[in-house]
Amino acid sequence: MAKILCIDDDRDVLETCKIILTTEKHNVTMAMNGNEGYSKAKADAPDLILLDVMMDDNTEGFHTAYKLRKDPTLKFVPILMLTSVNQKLNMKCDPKKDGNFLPVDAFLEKPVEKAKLLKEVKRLLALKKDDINIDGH
Amino acid sequence: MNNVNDVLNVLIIDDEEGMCLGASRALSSTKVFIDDLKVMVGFSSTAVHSYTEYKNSIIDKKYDLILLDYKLPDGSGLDILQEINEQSKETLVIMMTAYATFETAVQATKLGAYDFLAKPFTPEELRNSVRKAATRFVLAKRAKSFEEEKRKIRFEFISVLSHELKSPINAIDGYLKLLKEGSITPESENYPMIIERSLIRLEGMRKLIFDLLDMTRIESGQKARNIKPLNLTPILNTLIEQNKYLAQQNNITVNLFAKDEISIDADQSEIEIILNNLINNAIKYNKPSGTVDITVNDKQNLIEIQVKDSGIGLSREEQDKLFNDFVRIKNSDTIHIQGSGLGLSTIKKITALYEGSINVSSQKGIGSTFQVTLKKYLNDTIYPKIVT
Repeated sequence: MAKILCIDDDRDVLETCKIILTTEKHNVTMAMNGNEGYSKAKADAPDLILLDVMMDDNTEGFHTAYKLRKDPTLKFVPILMLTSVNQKLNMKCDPKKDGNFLPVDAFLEKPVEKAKLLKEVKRLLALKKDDINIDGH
Repeated sequence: MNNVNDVLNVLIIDDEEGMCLGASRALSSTKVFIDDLKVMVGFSSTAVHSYTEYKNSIIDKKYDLILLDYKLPDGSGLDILQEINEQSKETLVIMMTAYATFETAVQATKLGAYDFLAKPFTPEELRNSVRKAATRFVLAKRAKSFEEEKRKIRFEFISVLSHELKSPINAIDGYLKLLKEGSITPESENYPMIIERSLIRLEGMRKLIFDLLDMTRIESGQKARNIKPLNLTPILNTLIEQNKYLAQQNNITVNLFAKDEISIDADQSEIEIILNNLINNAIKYNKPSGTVDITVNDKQNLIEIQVKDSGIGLSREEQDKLFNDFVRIKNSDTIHIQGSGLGLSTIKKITALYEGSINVSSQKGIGSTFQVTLKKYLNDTIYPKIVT
């Protein structure tokens, strides 16, 4: 059981993630924008953060990721980025490649699917501190 | 009006040095005022004397206007004309020739020459031709950048729209998959919630499509506006009645402070879009057991409509972006509220048609007041401008 913070401006994406994560007995908190997410991360010290890309503006998720990585207390919390960029621009997000400039640990395409989400969550929760992509490398 | 806003680069191609000097001199003192754009255009000229020199001169410079001799020592002006028209559609060419025949003029025009000057010509004849060409050039350039801007706005609009349409699909898709794989069953605690949420998202999508139609209709100016004398008060009463169910759900009181008769010349459907959006927002973004006060001030030439709520309020940053397309304020206070993000931007577009405005004053946690001002009687009907 882990503490997981979900940041997305779509309430239903949050609810879906919560239902899925609760099946594995995780403790889920939710935030609807980058600032709210950052404050909740500060308050709750989560083990993992699920982060949407397009919130108030097209890149709010990216900015939030950088902000989280700059914070010494949150720096090593793995980030799973939720995107629908693929659908939108017909573009693939590849953590190996895109992780070069984005400090996140994995990408997951929306709509969120249970098996894929749980698999990624399990993998990321097991990551060692040294393996966290803290500065985009 | 002696300030020059734009300088056009002119290339003079002629083997006669005297002609080059004369043309340069005539152009250096020429300015063209383009009335439609209120800009003054000046000229900067360069002269070359042969086809070879021309080829060298265009390597690192682009010319807006070319004065081109028909006969050159190492080639024909018509060849240059053909090359120019293959390379750049914007450059305008004025042909100059001493062998002015009808056939050469036709041939040059077919190859894309903008104008034709028969040698010898006076400086005034040259200036006239250049004036015409410069006006045409500057207007075409402006039209092109306007087109590009329009394309960019349209692309941004459609990419945001596709995100707004895709979100509810993803949401419902996610819930249906949970049902399909059995994570949620009719016995689950969350079952009623996900059914209810799916229906709400579908309704939101329907509302988005309707709002989009409203907006498109207003922006395109396709539908004829039916401006006629209206009484605002009964329209307001009907709209309050239509929103009554929504208000009752949260125990919200809606008060109307208006005379029985408030007349305005307007299109009823436009007025309904404005008022309904304001009333609906004031109820949706209110607190339980809150109030909505609608005040209509009938002034000499203006109608002032104030809709005041006791709701969640808006921060300064939120107020600044509120009237743009697809802006929705998303935070934990608005988590349960549905909206397309088009209502206020549509109101703004409509108020412009009535030479009016929309403003907001608000305090976070206390409430917001939206004020719409509309001109009562318009002298000339303003037709909407197409934005996207």
